[in-house]
Amino acid sequence: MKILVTGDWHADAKTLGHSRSSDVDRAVREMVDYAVDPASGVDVFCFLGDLCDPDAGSASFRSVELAVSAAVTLSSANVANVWVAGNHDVIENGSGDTTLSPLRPLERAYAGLTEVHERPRASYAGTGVDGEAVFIRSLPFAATSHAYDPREHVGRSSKVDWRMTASSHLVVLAHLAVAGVQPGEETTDMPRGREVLFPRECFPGEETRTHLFNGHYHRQQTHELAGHRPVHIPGAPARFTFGEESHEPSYLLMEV
Amino acid sequence: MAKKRKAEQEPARPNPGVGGLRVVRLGRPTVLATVHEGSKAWGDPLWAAALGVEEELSGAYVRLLPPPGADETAVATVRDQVKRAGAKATWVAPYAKEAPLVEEARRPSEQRETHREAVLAVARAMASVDAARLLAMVEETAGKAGI
Repeated sequence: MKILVTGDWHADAKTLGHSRSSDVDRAVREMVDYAVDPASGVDVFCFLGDLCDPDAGSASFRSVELAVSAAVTLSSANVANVWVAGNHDVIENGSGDTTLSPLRPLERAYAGLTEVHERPRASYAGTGVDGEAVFIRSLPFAATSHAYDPREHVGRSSKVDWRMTASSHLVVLAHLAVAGVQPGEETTDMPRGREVLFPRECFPGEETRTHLFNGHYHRQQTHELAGHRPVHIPGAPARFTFGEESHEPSYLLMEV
Repeated sequence: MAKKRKAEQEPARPNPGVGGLRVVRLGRPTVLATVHEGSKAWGDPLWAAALGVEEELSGAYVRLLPPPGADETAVATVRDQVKRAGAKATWVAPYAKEAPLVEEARRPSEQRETHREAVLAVARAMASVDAARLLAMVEETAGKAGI
């Protein structure tokens, strides 16, 4: 099973007062085109949050259109797509809604393909190359009104599904703060929300069938910590602030 | 999400990288660049003209950080060159400008008359039936007032 991981699109972002939507559109098109190409073998397309701010006016609507369009294209090509909410996506009005909420009808239209993860969820993704089941567990950033404790949530049960066995794979998709990762200008020039820590201690290093992915940070990196599973960060698909001049916009591919 | 199509339909592929993870760079990301304070471009038009030669600035967003006291002409030259190189937007950060040279800090003041002289001049200029008496009276009053 091949998984494509991306995040932090910030399709409403501006640099020096200029909209960056065309840059993000181009990058998203490149990723989606690759994912739907049968030769690529991508089975699941994962978005790790921060589509746009909900209060960015018409730019928010355009950003949502971009996500809806990507989800429809992927689902139409039979590529599963998972959308995890980030700190920029949440709408703090007590509803728990996010900028990804408009994708919810696609969950019904493309049942089993499109999934919107605005609260922690788990699902069966398919079968890995070794014939073992692959499960996905998400730890999205939630609105204050719908806050949860990721550590408590994960600690409650490491088994996300009754079908899960010791040899199953678990892919964790999160949009939280990872202790030890050096924050970039996404936390100073583009701050939003509060800091909620990734429960890294819940994923010890010996659990080699667990694969951790986290959004939020704009620089592509893999963060290693002794005794723990590495956290893979895809980074943003474009450079948004001058602190990101040296970033190499990327996406991740993982074969499970 | 239980679509198991490709993994089941296709033979297993070899892992694409260490741990099965591969980083794929996106093509043609827009450049964000900074001309830092220490750049030679601020003082040398040849260096300024070279901006955009080594680094692709077409469609780029460029931040200019002139050094304190930078010559305004040099800043304009760098900005023009960056624009000529195709930058989409440029921004010049505020920088400390050299204070204008004040050539004459203080003009020598003209010799001013004292209060006493001024008051007496007024008294002399006044039309009075007894100018001498008026002058004497003003002198006496000024003396009492200590001016």
